[in-house]
Amino acid sequence: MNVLATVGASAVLTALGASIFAGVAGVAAVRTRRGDLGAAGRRAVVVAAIFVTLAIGTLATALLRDDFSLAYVASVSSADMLPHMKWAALYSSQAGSLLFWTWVTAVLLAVLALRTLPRMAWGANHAVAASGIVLTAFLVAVAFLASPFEVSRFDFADGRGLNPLLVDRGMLVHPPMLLAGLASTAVPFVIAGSALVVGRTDDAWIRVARPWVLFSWVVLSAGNFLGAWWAYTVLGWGGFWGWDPVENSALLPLLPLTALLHSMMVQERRGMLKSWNFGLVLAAFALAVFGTFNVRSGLVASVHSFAQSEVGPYFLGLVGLTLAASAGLMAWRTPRLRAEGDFVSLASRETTLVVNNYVLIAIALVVLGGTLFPVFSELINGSRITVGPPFYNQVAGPLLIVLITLITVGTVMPWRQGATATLVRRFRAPVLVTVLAGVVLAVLGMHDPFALATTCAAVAVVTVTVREYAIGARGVRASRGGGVASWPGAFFGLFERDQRRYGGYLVHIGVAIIAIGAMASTVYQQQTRASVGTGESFEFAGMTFTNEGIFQRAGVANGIDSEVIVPLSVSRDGEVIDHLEPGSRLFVNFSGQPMTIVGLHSTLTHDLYAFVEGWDENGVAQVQVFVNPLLAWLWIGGAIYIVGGLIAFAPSRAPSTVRDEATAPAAARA
Amino acid sequence: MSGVLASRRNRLIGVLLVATIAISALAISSARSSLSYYVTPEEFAQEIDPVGHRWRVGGRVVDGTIVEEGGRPVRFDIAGEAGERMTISYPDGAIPNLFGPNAFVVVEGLAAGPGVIDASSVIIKHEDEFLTGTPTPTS
Repeated sequence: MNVLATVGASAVLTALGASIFAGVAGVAAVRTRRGDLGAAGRRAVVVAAIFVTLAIGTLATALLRDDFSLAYVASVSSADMLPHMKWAALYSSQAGSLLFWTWVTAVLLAVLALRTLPRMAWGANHAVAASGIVLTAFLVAVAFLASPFEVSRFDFADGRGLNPLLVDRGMLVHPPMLLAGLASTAVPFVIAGSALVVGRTDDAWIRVARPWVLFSWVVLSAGNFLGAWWAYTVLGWGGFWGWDPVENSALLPLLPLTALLHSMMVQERRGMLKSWNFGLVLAAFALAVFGTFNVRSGLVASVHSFAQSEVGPYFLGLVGLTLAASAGLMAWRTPRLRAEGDFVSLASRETTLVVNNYVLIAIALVVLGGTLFPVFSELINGSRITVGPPFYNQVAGPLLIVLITLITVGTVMPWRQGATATLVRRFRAPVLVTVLAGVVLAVLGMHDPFALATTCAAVAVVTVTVREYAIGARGVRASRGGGVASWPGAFFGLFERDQRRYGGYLVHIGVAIIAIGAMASTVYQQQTRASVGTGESFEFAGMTFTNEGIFQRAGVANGIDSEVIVPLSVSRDGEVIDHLEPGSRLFVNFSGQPMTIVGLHSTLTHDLYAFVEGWDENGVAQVQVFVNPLLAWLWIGGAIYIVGGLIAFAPSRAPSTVRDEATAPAAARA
Repeated sequence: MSGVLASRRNRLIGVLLVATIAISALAISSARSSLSYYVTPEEFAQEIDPVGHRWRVGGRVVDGTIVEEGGRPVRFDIAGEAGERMTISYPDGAIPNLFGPNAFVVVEGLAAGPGVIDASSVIIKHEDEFLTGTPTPTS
């Protein structure tokens, strides 16, 4: 008997039992209105989380101990793998990633059950029932369809090792971030679903769900940035986003979440968009589950799809069930979802936010449509037709520019109604700055319309946002009376005063910077290919690249056999300015399948990016070199975006949250 | 003003509907120019007039068919599950990671003749099927 396999499998089954109990207890508590049943259900959710934690801990132990009697361990790990790579092995493959996903969901639902539900005056029992159902659905897959605790049919002295693509430090963070972000969408789904069933269609559910929506959104955003960074530094094709179906799957839930963060404000302020907001939460969860299905079904050919398995149809069923249940609930509650008022004026912030939502969802539909195009075409005329990256760039590109422009409009527009004089006064400066920037750039030689439009949109965002900070900081200084705060002090004081608003502005600045970095590195990318022997040079982009002699070094761990490096010195006007070490990595168990080692030197103005395509016995190497202008700003903008998101998410110290109904002891039942 | 457009909400919906039509038109025209047909080598062999169209073909690189120039693969054969072979010419474009004999690749490009594709891109479909490597059994 295999101890770890038995412990792990039993823990999963126990967690499944606890989840089923939670679901049943929740439903019974709703029917009988008995508080003790609800409390028992909440405890069962916590118990489920504890046992899923035990299961994932068991799998981690098996990986660390090189227990190759577990089929999963033998297929993704090997004895010479370093401990941190074994952490990556934990979620690197189908069964492990499903367990990881389920673990994150269980822990977050347990936090909900422990901290939020006991204080919730409405729908707590419904939320317990929903938590139990969601957890059961995932645990069934882990227990019966893709268990990481299956015992190997053979005895292995050593495992196969991690797939070479995954042997990289970037793998330590981006997959868990993405999985956690996707899994966390279950919590807003549970809250919104409960509110719909109970009939609390006012904004009470929004106040409970907002921190969870922000959490999902920050984590999923970080996962996407880190994923792009991994693609850039490891995959070795010179770019950072290829509109691959799996990349699309990770991006898709982020779009309704972003829309929701904006449209929730409209419901709170104006009592509009009620059904829309429910729809966005449900869509985010359905898209997250769809992503799980998409990468596991072989539905669309992708760089990083998992092996096809029976989990695919199961998750497709779950997506269908989620959509059907959501649509049914919303149809049932339609009478309660009427807006409380009309727009006072179309020149208002709420209108801008509605258009922002429209554009975000349009982008989501374009990306979803492109991803599923082969499936639709096969259904309609029997041939699988795919659409390439140009499709996404041509359609989503302009929509993204519109979206960035809307940031400016939304920041400047007042709620309800803007008097013409106010609008002129507020728009005058940013429009002037933007037009001036556009003219200057066009004169300086920026003639690409896409580049020009992106830059102008980004300049406008930065202009109005900096102005908002300045106005706010002036207010803080004035409010401190005699003891006038310093400007930096006032600036940081803003984040204390209204962290959601000023954190959100920081995210907007991050988006503008990302847009510039993405545009410059795509439109103005330079690329060359050369064949160079030892000591030979080639000229590119005003620089001289010299092959200093190919060498080979032995691998030490992680299944690496050896690495072949083509050192390139980079000089300008006879002076060496840089040194790149692109190469190729060869693996013990994957012979003939080398991995690129990217030679990268990043500066604030441009990245030098090189990779090796081949070499011969005479030491002549084929290399490709890229100059990617301003690419580092993509990551800098991403970091600013995440910091802004974290500021908005951080627990508020301001007393304004006391009115939060979830924390009030007693409130009227709807 | 007509009754329907009296509400500001309906006017906004009208504007967004027009925008939807515009986006759809843009999407359809962009999709037309970047379409390619995804087939297996077996299906490709059945095509009557493949030349001049864009195709995506998925198959396994046949061992021993990789022709290199200066150490860089420029031509190779792929085979489908039933063994139908076709030749891929790939003079430029990035060689993906893990490219090698028996790797499952998806090539995209123009058909240059029966069973021949001039590829503009090659991607690897990575699989995590158990036991494609060579771990050594102890017993």
